[in-house]
Amino acid sequence: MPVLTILVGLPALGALLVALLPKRLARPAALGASLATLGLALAAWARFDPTVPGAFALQDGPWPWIRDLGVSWALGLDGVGLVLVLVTAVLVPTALASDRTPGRAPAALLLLCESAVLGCFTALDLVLFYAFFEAMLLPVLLVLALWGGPGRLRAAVRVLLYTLAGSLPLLAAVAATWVHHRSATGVPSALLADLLATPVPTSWAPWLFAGFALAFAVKSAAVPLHGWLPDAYAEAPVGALVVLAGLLAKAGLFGFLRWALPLFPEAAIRAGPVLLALGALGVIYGGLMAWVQQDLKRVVAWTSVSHLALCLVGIGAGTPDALAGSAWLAAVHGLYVGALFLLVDLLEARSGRRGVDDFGGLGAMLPRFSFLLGLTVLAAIAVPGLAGFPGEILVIIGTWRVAPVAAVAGASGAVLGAVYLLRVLEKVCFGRPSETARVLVDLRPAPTLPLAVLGLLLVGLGVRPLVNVVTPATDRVAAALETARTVEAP
Amino acid sequence: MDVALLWTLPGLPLFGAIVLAIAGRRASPAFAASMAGGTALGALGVAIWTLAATLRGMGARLAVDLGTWFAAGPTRASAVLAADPLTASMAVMVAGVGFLILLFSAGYMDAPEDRPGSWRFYACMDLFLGSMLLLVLADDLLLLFVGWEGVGVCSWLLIGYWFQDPVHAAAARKAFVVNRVGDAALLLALALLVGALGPRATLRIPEMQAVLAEDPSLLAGSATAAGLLLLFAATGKSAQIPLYTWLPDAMVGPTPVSALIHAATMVTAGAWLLLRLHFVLALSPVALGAVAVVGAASALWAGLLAIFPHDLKRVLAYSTISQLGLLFLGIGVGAGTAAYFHLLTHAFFKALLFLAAGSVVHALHHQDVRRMGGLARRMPWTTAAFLVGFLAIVGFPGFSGFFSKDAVLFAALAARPTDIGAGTFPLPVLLCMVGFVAALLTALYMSRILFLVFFGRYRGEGRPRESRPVLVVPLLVLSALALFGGLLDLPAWIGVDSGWLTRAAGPHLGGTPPAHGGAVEAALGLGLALASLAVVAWAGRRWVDRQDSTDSVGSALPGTARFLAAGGRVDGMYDALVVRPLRGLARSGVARLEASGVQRAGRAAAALLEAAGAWNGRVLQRGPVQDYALGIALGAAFLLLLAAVS
Repeated sequence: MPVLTILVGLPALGALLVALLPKRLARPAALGASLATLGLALAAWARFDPTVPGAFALQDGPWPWIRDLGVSWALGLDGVGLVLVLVTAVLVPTALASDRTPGRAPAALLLLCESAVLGCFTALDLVLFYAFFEAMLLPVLLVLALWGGPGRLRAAVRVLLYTLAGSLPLLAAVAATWVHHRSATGVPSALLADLLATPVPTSWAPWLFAGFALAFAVKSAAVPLHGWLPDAYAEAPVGALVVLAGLLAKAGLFGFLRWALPLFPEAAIRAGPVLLALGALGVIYGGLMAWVQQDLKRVVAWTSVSHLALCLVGIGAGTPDALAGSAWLAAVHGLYVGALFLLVDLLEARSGRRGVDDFGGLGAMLPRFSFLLGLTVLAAIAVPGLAGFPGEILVIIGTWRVAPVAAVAGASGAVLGAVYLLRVLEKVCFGRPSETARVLVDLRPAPTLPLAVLGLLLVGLGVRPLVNVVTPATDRVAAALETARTVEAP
Repeated sequence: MDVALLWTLPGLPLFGAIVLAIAGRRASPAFAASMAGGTALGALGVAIWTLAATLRGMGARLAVDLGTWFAAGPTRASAVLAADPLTASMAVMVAGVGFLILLFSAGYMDAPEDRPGSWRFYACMDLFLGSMLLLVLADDLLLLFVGWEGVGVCSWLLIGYWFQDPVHAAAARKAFVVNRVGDAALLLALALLVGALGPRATLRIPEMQAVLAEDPSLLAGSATAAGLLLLFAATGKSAQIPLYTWLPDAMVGPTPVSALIHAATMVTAGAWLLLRLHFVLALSPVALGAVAVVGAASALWAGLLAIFPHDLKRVLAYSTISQLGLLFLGIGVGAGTAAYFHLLTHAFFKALLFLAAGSVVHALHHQDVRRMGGLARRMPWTTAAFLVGFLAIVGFPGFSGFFSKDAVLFAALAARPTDIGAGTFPLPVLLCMVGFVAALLTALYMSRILFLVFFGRYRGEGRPRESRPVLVVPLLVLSALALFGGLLDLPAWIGVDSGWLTRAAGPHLGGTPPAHGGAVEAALGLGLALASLAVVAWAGRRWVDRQDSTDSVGSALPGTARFLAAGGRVDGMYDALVVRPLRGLARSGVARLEASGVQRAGRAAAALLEAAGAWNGRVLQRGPVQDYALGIALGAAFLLLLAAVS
């Protein structure tokens, strides 16, 4: 049974259903479709056996799709893809359950986006990947532009322009990679396995790597290409926001691990210092920005920039532990950033405010809310025993051997994280209740459930991290880089 | 019993914390207190059993391996707990003191406004105990780090227990952030160790020791860096210079918290780390010297600062920093056993002093020594307990502090300068003298609060009464420990067959077995005791009858006194040197760059774009859009350039 194809197709089918059903059934149908997708993702996990030799434990295809161009429908799941698929499948239902945008269109669009994201994490054909990579943004962009806050148009245009700037070089690099393979073998193909068999000559590999890297860096908001992120995060309605912050930004990091590093290992090694420098810069830059924000959503947005930058540090380091840490952090980052945005949105929905100084004393007024916020913040600042820790520590330890300065920046990011997130906790939950805080009532079961699920995951994945699921995949990438390094050395 | 029982040591208190967190407000104060006290008592039982088991074959090692926690590349975190006489005795101390303090808490946290939320207090205390026991028993450095950060988190939660007061909330955050600075250093130290050991990398403490014993050259170039990073990490948790500033502020928390976390256990975590990793420090004389110097300096500096505060608990906080400084001095001069001895005795008498102070605070509802006095007649049991703690910390012959302090100071005197990277400079003698002066300061500031609080005339309002038995009983047990704790490791010059701790824990602490100085050691100890008594006598004349001002010790040097009374203005200095520049960088540097950088570049280039006439779309002619386009183009060009150049 083509599990992965069904997995990718199911949310899109759900979107179609939502569009056709009467309005009052639309929300439950959307939630149902996303929950069914979650069930399927869990089934894929159950069937996933990391000990299977070969890169991809689960695989659909390849089935020819565009014969003349040699493009196939090929999906596959390795460990990195699996954890990201699972996070996607968990986050979309929570986003749908918490979203407050009217009508059925936003729900349908979010489901469409989920299909594209899942496709992006599983595609084994470069052209197919490119299609998903581009497609996943459009639905979210529409939700942002139509249902976002007052500055939505500005934010949406900004996202579009940044994305285009990354997409065009990526398209060129994808085409060039494809052309190279055809001219080398005479057979057109864009399958990952085929492309790996025909390495691009070192003379132009750096340019192709740069094309990939640019698109991926824009997507993962690497400083200084992060300009699209703060406004978009501040304006997007919460459903789109969770998807955007929790999932889409990960596609860039995933792109490095699945495509850019394995296809161009020599170029990746030479670009390593650049990625390390950009990552280290981003960790500090994002942390300092988060510290001085007055808008809770922007604090979380800059938290996200800082933590994604730490993932980029790990990718730049390219050691097995740093890569595994990067992949793990990218996955769990979706959970805690998603939870943080949901919590801030709850406050905004109840009080119409989201300033850092608007609240206070919620610990006494809203104990359940405060407990969840506290737990999520602790997970976000990588307190061991919670989900954020293994990723952060692996990146720092793995990076030290290659670039101690970048590791120091990563560790400083951990200190800054405590500074800016505990500031939020102190202002919002501690102290005496403000006028705004007095009228709030604590969480009722309905909004608590998705948050409680995320909270449980943050604890569970901290106690029992699935790092061993991602390591076979990241170890392969690290090995490819190591081979390239030893070839280059003499 | 089975070895796997070791897991119940952190497990039981952790279980209690989870139960209480789930029960929440449904848990009555009595249930919450019994849950926390019961789990602590259970842990104490297991700890005693473990200690007995490890002692049966002196130096036996019990280990429970639950497999790999997570691993990637050379980095492997293993879920392994192990007990030898060293870790087991520490676990007994932690669980025992923890249990007594929880017993005390049951009487202390009985204010009507605290009762509904008391589950939170006991859950955090239980979580703390679990984390501390994990830290003590962890065989793997990443597992140790779990406990290390766990105690930090609990400390943050408990300092901010009365979180509606902004002062408490700020103190809690300060404690967490300062500790985090040390934690970051520990992470980097681990990264360094993994990197230096290369293919033989391990984070298991015994394996690392074996690897380094076999081939010390692995750490040849970086032993000093590793040692200094570990020291910096330890100064955070153990409140030493330069990261001590959080501890005095932490005294706003409930007194049992101060006793358990900020006196007896959590603050020993830094020293514990250095004791466990003595084999890393031993590879670098410079790092050892740095530990000794930091310890001596902290002992002296905190001793000076302790003379002035009006807040009873603040004096005890500075005293803790000072005593831990002596402990660090011991570690630095390679006297691990003496340091560990002092760690244990300090835990007993400092917990006792804090709880006695807590009994006073509970009766008076404030912590200001200016409004105390004459409590000896009104609270005789509390006074007796405080007096025992006082004699122990001052080092009255026969009391526990006398033996442990003497052991540390003598070890400093006996150390060789080359062993602590001082060349021919007689650094050890100097450090011993500094420690001696710090010990005299101990006598001074402790006498001050003893006389101000318990003797003379009562200066407060109301009629304070002796605390209830639930508060007094833990005081009596701790008094016994503070009095007889010295029996753990009697020095050779006493002439009795002793040195139990040296024989049991010494082999796990490395270093050379302490040379027994006989007459010199005895003279040092008794000399210090005599000098201390002289100080006490002077202080008694100074303070017993003084009823208003308490600053008279500084009347001769008003400027210096003001400076020290203000904590040496260190907080202000850190604020000016670290916090404000960083925030300034964030506010006017990074944030301004973010806000205007793209825009300004955009304006300059908008004209260019228009001149080229390439972008005619109506949307694209709006200013910001062009700015974004330019921002993208610049960013892209930057990346491409870097990629091409590299």
